[in-house]
Amino acid sequence: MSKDYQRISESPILRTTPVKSKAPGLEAIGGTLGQVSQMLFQKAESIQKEESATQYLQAEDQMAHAVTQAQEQMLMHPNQSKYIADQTKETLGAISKSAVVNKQNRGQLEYSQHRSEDKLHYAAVSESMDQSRRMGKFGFLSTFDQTLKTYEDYLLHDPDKAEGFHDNIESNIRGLVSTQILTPHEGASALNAMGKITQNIHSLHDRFKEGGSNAAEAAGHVESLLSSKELDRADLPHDASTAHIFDSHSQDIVAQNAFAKAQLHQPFSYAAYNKMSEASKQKLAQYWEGSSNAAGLVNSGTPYPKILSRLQDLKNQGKTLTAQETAEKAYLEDYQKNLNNGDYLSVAANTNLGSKYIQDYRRQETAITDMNKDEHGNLSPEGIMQRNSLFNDFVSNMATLGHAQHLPSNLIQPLPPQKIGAIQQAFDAGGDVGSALNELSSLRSENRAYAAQGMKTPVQQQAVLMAGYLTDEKDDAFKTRLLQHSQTIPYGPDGVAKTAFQVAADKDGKNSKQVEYELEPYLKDILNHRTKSPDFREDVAGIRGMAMNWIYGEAMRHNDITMSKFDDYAMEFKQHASKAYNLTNGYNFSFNKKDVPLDQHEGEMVTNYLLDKFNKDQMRVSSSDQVYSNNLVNPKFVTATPDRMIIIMNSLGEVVHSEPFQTDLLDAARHYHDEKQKNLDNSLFEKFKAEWQ
Amino acid sequence: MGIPAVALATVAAIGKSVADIASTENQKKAIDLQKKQTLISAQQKSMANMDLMEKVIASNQAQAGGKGVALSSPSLNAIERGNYNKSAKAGQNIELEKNFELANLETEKKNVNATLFSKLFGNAAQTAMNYKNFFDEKPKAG
Repeated sequence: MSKDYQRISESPILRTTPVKSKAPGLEAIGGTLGQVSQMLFQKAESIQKEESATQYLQAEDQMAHAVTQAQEQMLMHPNQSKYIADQTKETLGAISKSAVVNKQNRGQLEYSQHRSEDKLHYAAVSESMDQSRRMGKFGFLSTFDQTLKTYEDYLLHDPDKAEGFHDNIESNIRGLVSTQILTPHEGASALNAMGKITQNIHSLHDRFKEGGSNAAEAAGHVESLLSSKELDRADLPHDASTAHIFDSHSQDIVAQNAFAKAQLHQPFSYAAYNKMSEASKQKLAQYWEGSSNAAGLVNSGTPYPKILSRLQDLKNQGKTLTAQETAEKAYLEDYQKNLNNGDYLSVAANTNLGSKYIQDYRRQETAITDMNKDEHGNLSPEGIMQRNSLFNDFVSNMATLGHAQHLPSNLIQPLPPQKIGAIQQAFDAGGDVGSALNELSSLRSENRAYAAQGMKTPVQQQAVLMAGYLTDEKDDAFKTRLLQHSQTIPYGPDGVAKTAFQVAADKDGKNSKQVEYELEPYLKDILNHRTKSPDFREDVAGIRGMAMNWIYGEAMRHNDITMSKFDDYAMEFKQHASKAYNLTNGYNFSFNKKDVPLDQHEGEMVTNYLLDKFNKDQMRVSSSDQVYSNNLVNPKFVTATPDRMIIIMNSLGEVVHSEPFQTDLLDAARHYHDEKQKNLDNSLFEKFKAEWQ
Repeated sequence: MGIPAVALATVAAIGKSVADIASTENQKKAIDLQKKQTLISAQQKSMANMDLMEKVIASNQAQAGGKGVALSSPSLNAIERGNYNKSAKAGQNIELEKNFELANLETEKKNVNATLFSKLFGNAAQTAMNYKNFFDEKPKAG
């Protein structure tokens, strides 16, 4: 209504004021306390974390230590790796379990425990793998030597197998390398070693094939390489402490042995060859080459004089010889020495043909012996005949070898020493003459000369030769006495009976000079024939000695120390001797029909044929005038030796041509003679025709 | 080292709760005070309203008397009734205002209680969580 009513309101109204309480202060306290609590909790948490972390680190450290220890143990005892790993696994578990850590660290700890376990497990597995690899490697390497030997064997004996073997080993090695049992380097080395053997064998083969040796010979040598099991020390010093002082090659006997054998072209130790340095191998190869040349020279049938001249050349060079020439010289010297020692058979056996003859002979002899044996092991008469025939063939073949090489007849001795010994014994005091004659008669006529040649003295030689000639003549009594009288002790001018004859000679007997002189006419024919031979002096002396022995022996037999029946004895000797020496003589030839069955006419034909051929050969190198004048000054003479060689000699007694007598020689001579006669007839006919017209 | 810190932290956490409770009590007291203030204020307002009405009526009667208007005069009565009505309306408004304020304060009080409850619950939960964290971090043998 009006403002007056307002103005008069006298009781004032309480104005509401906001109430202030202690609440915000308390809230502040609460907040602070809350903050403190929060911080404390955080602090406590971090303290716990640190504690756990410390424990965790300790546990980690212990685990790492355990793992390291386990690895050390594994290294020391690789074969117990698995056990060590298991043990360590338990240890790790215990460490992890006993560690006081919070959850987070527990997880971490367990993680690292499992990781360590895995690591150890892997190490153990890999260690045992390594171990099995090592065992595998050891197995391979320890047998590799044997493998190589087998491979060598195969290479030398069975190359087809060797190839397959090599492939096998190679794939084997590949497998071993891929499974890490062998390192690639070791695998390569192993293959290399096999390759080296192959190379060595190849080079050996090559070297054998070079110069002179043929395939058969090389095969023979290689065959015997492995059989010579010698010490494996070639090319090594004998003593390590003296190795620096000496040339090891000159000290080592095995290498020296190999060198010596190579020089003589004999198989040497393959082991030695394999061990040698390359330089020594070269040297050995050069020796081999040289001896191959020499062997080629000898085995290719080069005439003996040519071989001798080559040897002389080498000797003249003195010390300026190369390795090849040294070996060649050594080989030729050895060859000559063997021949001069009467070792003809072994020399001939070294030649291809000779070894073949020997092999054939042995094989066939075994076959004959086996086939003709009765239940007591004795040979049947047929078997004996067959065996004799085989033996004679063999002897002839071996002799032909020597003749083909123009060896001097006195060096050719194709009879084995046993055979010669069986005959030689007849000349010992009280020797078994009968069996000696049997042995002699088992030989074919052309081979008996070799038996004679094998005797020790010229007298014995001639006695056996004559007995041999008389084999088919059925006068065994004479032959037996002939040999008996030639025995060394009881008879003869030098024998024990000498004195008695000498005493008798002073009265009315004959001394040895007289005997010799009076014997001469009876021996004239034989000596005439024999003096046409080369090197006849020994032969002639032998014949004289044999005849003297005969006279004295007969005189002793008849108790005739005064030699009253000298003529009878001499006559008997002459009768038999002329049977033995059934001679065919001409002005330029002289043959014993026992040596070569030629009658007078055939002898002439053969002589003319041979001389004309010889002259024709001469004319190739000199003019016909020279040849004719040479023939006038130095006439040629044709004869045959007891070993059935037809020889042409000049007037100096030198053999200018020789060849074995064979029946086709006679055919050729006959043909030549006929042709010549025809030509002569024709030319005469033409001449007459011209004169008639 | 962790354990004493945790004990301290627990004490602090409890202290915080205690402080929170005390603070709530104070807030409640303040609200009660406010209530009383409001009641007094409302009564004062209603008293003033009544005073005013009495003064107006007295004045009106005085003027009517001066003017020679009988007290039984209807116009005067009507005016008097009008004044009564006005005063009654003002009284009603004051009553309504008082009721609003009281209701507000009552709500406020409930809020404070709820806040306390939540604070205490939060504190407990926080501490439990802290404990859990702490024991999680605490190292143990496996």
